[in-house]
Amino acid sequence: MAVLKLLESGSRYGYELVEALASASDGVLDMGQSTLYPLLYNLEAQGLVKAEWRDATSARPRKYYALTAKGKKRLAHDVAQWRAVEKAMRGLGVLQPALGGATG
Amino acid sequence: MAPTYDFDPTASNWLVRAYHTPVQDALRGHLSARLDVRREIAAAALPLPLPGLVYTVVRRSRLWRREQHDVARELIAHFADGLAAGTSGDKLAADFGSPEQAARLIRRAKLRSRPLWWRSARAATRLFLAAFVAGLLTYSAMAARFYWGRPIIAHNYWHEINAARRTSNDQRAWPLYREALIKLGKTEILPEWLDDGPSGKHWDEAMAALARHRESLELMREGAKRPHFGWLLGDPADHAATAAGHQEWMFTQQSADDNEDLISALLQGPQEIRRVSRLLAADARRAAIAGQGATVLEDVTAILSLSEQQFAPAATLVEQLIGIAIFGQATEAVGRTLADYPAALTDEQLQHLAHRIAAYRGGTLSLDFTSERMIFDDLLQRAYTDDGNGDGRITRDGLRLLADSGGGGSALFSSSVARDPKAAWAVLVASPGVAALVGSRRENRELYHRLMDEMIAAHQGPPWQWDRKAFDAYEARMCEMATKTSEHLKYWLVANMLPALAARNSAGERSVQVRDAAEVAIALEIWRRRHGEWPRELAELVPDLLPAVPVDRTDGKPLRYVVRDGQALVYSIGADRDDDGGRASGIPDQSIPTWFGPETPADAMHQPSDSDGDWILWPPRKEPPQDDEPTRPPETPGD
Repeated sequence: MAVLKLLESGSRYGYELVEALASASDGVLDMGQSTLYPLLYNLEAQGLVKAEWRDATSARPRKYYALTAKGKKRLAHDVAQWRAVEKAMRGLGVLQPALGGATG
Repeated sequence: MAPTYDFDPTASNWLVRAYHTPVQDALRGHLSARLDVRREIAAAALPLPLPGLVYTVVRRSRLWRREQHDVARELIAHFADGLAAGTSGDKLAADFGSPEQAARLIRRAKLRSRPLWWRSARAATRLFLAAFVAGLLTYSAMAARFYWGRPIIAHNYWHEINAARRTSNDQRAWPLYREALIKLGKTEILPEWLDDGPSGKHWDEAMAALARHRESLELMREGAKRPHFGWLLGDPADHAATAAGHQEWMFTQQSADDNEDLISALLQGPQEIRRVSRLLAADARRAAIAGQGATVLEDVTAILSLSEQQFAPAATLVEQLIGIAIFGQATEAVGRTLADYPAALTDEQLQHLAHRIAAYRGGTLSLDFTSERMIFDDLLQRAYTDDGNGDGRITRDGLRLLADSGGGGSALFSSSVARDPKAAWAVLVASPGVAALVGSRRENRELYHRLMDEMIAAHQGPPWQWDRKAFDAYEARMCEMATKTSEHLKYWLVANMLPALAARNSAGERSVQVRDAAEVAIALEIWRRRHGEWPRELAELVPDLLPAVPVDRTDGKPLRYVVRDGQALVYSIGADRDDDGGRASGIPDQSIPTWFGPETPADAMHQPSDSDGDWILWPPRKEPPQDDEPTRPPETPGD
């Protein structure tokens, strides 16, 4: 879902995604790079993202990944589900201390 | 320390280029080698260890060339971006993680993107392989179970049969017969050699042989007076006695203690008895010609007793059929004497003979199949394992036994083939599979005994009342077992071992018919003596000379009778089941029914094709010598 979320704002290439994941999550989602590409290929196989080689913006070609309509739909669904879980956890007081930055 | 990876960028020649060229480029005549991963990596000029890392991931992914090329390009771009961001090659390689894991995950993900046809074919192949492996494992388990199985031979049916026959020595006829046979040697005398009387070609030789073997004849007559045949299976006394008399050829060295297959038991005693019964019949013929009625009576009575003795407890079917054949010799002797030398017997002797024939086997001439059941059960115990509850599975020995028993079983498993090393492997592999198709011990046993019971029940009463539906059901079942492969394999033993019950019972019916005819012939002769002529019909013999007119066993009507040219003629309508007025068939014996019982069109199959004519029961016709019979008494060293 994190990868899909990063692609929501626009297409990105592999290394960019690695960097973005690491910085946006303060290293929490800093995944091993050997797993990123299989993950992307899986999303592609499921039709959630589409890949495209672009040569224009750089001296070397890069493969960019972008959300498909199906991917957007899945992201919306997963986000909604995650929020419901988060809400439930908050209701139980499980998430409050860890995510307490917002309240304290 | 940073890991190192093998990478040799130099391997490139025109063959490699052709291999890495897409088809469309090749069709255009351009060896582009666009899909050459080595070239792609080398061109990227990545620092060590990154070229080797990329190459390792790509090579280990075992993807199609196009897919590998795509992955390689992406990883090259990835590391180039990392280097551009100021990260060292070693750091990038370390951050990348395990190339083996990456290759495995990339392969898995990429395969999901492949076309549907490829994924379907792959799933089908996997399914087939899984099924093949599962089948192989199952077959291996079956093979282990099959080769592990061993038959348990718990019963010695030789002993069981012998126990049923055992009696005191002075009650046994066999020791006397054995002595007679030893004295007789290989001498064979056929009654028909005396048919032409003193002017006959072999008269002198036959008379001389009978005189030489007078002692054997006496021993036979003495034996016939004893109540039991007393012949035992594999009796060591037979070996000892025949060896002492230098007649070892008469008996093999079988022993009941060895408990060999019951079906392989040699019935030399009963087989040889037929020869001495022919000797008695020949002597009866001689006595009739000589007008020695007492000797005729003595010989015929001895033959009748000899026949009765063959129906010992647990007598095999072969012994019983021998008994029937010997009985036929007795009735033949009576019939010929009455036809050719009627004055040889006094009224009193004729009446005595009539009573003796009427009392033959207590008047019941049915066959007993107890020993056949024993033979079958004996085969089962040699072919199957025994779970202690009457069930078991076929064994390796069993398959061989089934094949050796013949009757359409696969020759592949026979003993002779098993000794052929070329076929040994085929037998080894195929046996468990075939064994899986062979019915269990219980299934075979139950079917065999059920069919036997049904057929015995179907043969109750006179033949015209036999159960037609039961025959048809039995025939259909046998046909199914013979023609349907699965049934034939499942009930292999049953299909091969069930005796031809209808034919065997018909043999019994023929005995009844010739017995009745002999009774009628004696009554006719007595009537002729009293009235100076033949009766107009058989009913005139009742009740003074016969209790009732016997029936024709083919249709249940009174036995047929005519007087033609001053000669009485007793006959049955015979195999073709129509009355030809006492006309005999053109070919001897063709009109003798091989099948009795309710008639349907299908029964025509049981009858000889040239069966037109009647079965002449009395007077007996003189048959020309058969080609396979000796025409003169053979000389033997003992003579």
